[in-house]
Amino acid sequence: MTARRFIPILATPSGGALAAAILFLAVAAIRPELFSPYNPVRIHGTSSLEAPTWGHVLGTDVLGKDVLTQILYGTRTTLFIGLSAVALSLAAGTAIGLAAGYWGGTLLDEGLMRLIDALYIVPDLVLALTVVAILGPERIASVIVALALGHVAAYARLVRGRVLAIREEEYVTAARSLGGSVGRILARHVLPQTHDVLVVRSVLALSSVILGEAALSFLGLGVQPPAPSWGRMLRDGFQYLATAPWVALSPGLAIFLCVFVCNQAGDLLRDLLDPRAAVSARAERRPNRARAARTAPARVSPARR
Amino acid sequence: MWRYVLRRMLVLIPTVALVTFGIFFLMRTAVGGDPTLYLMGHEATLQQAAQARTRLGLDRPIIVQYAEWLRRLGSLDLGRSFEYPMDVGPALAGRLPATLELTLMATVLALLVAVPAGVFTAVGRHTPLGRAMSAATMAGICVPNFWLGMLLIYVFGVKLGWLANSAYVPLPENWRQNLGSMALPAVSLAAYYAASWTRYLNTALLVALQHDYVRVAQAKGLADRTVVLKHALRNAIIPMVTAVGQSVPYMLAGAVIVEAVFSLPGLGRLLSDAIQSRDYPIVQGAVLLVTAAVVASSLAVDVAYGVLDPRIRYD
Amino acid sequence: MRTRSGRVGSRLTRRRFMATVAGTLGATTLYSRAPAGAQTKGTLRIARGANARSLDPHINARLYDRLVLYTLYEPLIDADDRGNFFPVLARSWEVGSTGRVVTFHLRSDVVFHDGTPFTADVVKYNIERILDPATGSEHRARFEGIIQGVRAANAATAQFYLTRPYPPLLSELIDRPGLMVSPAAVRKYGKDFARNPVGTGPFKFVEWIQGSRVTVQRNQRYWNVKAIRSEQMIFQDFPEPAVADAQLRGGQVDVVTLEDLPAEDVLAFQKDSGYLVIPSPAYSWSAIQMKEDVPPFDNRDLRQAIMYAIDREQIVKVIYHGLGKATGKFFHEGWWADPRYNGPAYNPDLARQKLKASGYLDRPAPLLLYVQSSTVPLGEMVQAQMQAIGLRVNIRLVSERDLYPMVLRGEIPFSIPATWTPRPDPNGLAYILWDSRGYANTSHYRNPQVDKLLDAAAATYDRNERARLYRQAERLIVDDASYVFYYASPDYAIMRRGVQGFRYGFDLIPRVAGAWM
Repeated sequence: MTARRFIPILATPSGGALAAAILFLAVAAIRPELFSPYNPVRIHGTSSLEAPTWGHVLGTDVLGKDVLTQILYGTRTTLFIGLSAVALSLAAGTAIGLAAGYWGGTLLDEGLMRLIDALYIVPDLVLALTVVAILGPERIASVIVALALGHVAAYARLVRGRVLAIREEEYVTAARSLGGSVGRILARHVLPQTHDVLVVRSVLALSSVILGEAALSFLGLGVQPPAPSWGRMLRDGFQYLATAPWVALSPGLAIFLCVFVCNQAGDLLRDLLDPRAAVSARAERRPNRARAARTAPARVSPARR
Repeated sequence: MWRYVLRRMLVLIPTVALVTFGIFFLMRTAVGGDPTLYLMGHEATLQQAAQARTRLGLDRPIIVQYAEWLRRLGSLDLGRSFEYPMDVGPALAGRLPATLELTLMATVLALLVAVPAGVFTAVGRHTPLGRAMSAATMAGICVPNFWLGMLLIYVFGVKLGWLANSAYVPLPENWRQNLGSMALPAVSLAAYYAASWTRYLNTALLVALQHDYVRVAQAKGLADRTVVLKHALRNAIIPMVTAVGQSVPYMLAGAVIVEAVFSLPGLGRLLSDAIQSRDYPIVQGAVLLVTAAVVASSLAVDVAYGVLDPRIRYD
Repeated sequence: MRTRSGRVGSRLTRRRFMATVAGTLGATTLYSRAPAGAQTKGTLRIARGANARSLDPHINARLYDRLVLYTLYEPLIDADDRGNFFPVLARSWEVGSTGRVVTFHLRSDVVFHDGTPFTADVVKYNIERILDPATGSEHRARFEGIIQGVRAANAATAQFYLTRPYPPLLSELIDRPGLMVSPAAVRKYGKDFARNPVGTGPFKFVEWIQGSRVTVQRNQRYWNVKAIRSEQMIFQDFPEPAVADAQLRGGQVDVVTLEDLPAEDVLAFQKDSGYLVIPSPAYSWSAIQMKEDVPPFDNRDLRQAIMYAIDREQIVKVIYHGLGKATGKFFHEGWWADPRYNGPAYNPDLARQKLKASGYLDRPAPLLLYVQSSTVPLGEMVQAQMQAIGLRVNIRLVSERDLYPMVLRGEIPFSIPATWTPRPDPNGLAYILWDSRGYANTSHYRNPQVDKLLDAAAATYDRNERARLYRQAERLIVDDASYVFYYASPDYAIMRRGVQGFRYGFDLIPRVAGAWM
């Protein structure tokens, strides 16, 4: 996966727009003050719930804070939580998948797969809600862990499938007969062959996590103030829907754009890196139905919510 | 085939048990887990809270409590809610219709949109309208359902004053008001799946269109559209069934939020409220119900496969 | 007590007018003989915030469930919006010469919804039910150690035997533990009684669709049936204010009484001539709370420094948009409130002096303020105000639901907000919060002088004397500053023009039984 493969993409209008959007989000997350002169947390106490004007492009909220500024600062929260959750989930899922695949067929594998099945069955939001409620939403770590849990299963299955497939390959048997340890062989072969798929999956998982974080915040169990959160802005704005719809609705636009960027990027990456991804992904999601997989479509719905 | 189903169930039951135990354990051990002070509000005293804990059996070891729950489960007794004066079973049953109706309506709506749209975007993929629709589906999967719900409330409730947010009434009571109150929530929930399933079907059709028998049909001179409708579609049904079946857990999760937005008295809202007020018996029962529903839908998909695709044989 | 998110209704200049009107109405509505020829209209639909939790007033019923409970059940007496008691199920009452026996003369024409008669034995049963630990009533602490027993002298006379003279008893009997339930029904339904309420009230229970609504219907056998003006009442549960408001505008509900109505909604409806906004006559107060037995808050000078450092006017202006009032005390309404006293004023110089005197600056570590997560701007403003006098404060967030349990368990020595609703008797809150034996004294506040004052005030039935003693106690409690008061505000109800007979009780709970559309 070299960078050179991306250059032709950037030349196309949609690819270029996507790159620009990603750049914008990154800058908004790192240096939001570049885009807005206002302070996101200072309470001005005046001009409460002002309609959008040139001074306040998206209006002000009930405490007089500029809505656009809060949305911009919210980018940081969203991306931080999103990337952390995906990273955590990737690490945990890969570790479990590697272990299960390496000891494939043994009791450990069975046990781990039952655990993975359990994680897979519970709807992600339900699981996240329970975990956050228990651990306490005041700690940002509990939100991250709660969101990460929903994706561990997918990663674990993916990696495990790859490990199992590779284990049977001839070069592995050959290497073993030459005295190499299976572990080192897998490490040398599994990860390089999997990382394309993992990258694609991760980008798509990011969009899902962003939606999940917004949902948790909307239910009141997301990241707590004063850290700005789009989902919480929606929740707080909901009661002003009749009198000040811009406060209620504009954070949703931000969520939408962020998720859109992630999904587009994910699709692009998948087409670029791993056109076969969907087939093998479907194959190990339904391990008992290898034959059905052959009639399965090449595309899978990108974002899981 | 039934032996296959049975075998699968035998594997899935321990998984469900694992889930229930996990939630059970999690709720009772975590520091933020004690429900008694929440229940008593501001008349609470530490002494009364301790007495309440004993009364609710929360001071026994967790294994004992779980064993007790399992035992009662055997006689189909899910226990009694901590917060509400109801047994868990009837409480869940009371809320089930709203959620069931919501998810069914959303599924039907999504399919009504996805099937024609999926066909159209596949067949007309080179037309501007087809391309526009593809772009729309991409947008559709990115829209958060609670935001859509708020938008719909704003447009139809605040601005237009139609469908003025009728309060939910059960279906047998007043079907007009019931459907009126369910329309916006169902649309909010369905939107994502309409877009997602359209894309799924689109891809399935495109793949099917590349198969040899299709080329033969095309060589014979049949129009793309006929080919699609007669041959490809039938073969694309199977992955669609998968897609719908796999969406069940996510749709249930979506129902939690949509019910919160529209204040619908459904299972999702009950679960979310119960989690926050540490009403363990309700959470246990609802999680059990939800995971059972997911398992059941997964098995239903398998059975549907067996029925729809003669090539699939379970042995 | 009730938690607040810092959003309250407006300061109405016609509040006083409405209060007077409401007060007059209160004396002439449901519980007195209504004028003949009063029409009974149709259904009144009321939107309320939280889901109903229990229709058994003695077990698990929330403070705001009382809205519904007062239609189904009745107490022996009730209080108007000035805090004055008037008869309901009891025609009259008197206190014996020792002050330890309170005799209630009951109405003799009252039957429960299930047909069983209301007698003195019923009163005895109800009180014993609360006192019995097996019932698990959370109100037991309010009567335990005070009511020795209840004797039914005859079918229409119930005598309460107290361990000591206790004028606050009447105030306690207005709340949930004083509502009379049918013994026959409790025996019949057992633990399901909370779903099958049977009382003597003007309305009978019809249904409770859990999570959705409670419906009650006119009780034809009510002892004052002519005073009931609605045929039916439906209480809808709407946790989201936006949805409740939409329902009101859409004509699907007639009244909205949510706990935390956003100020903007109240203001918007006030401007709209099609709607009526009614404030409650009494105020609930909010304070910063500190635990007196945990250093450094055991230092009185430090606490007073904080007290003088708070700019209450700024809080009201910015956080509450000028709604409600800035205040440094906690008795606002009723015959015991002191209209000439308003507690400490903002005084940053004095605050700095106190801070220096406290010696805290010799070893300054930042204080940790626990803030309810729905009122973060309030916490930040307080933080800024304390920083202005040189006191460094860090903020940690606690969810709304967790705040009181953590305070109760003693885990949080410094928190905001502590909010409590008023009772029709000053002892109601003062004792439980600030007497050293009070069961809600989570600050571990100990002032022997206050204890003495409260004991004396609770031992005499002379109102003037009691008022004098409570006012004295109030000043001591305020000066000791383990609670730093900053704000008080009423509750609001919004309704369509045409709704009549809606009134608030002194305790911020609406009494809707006499209302109609």
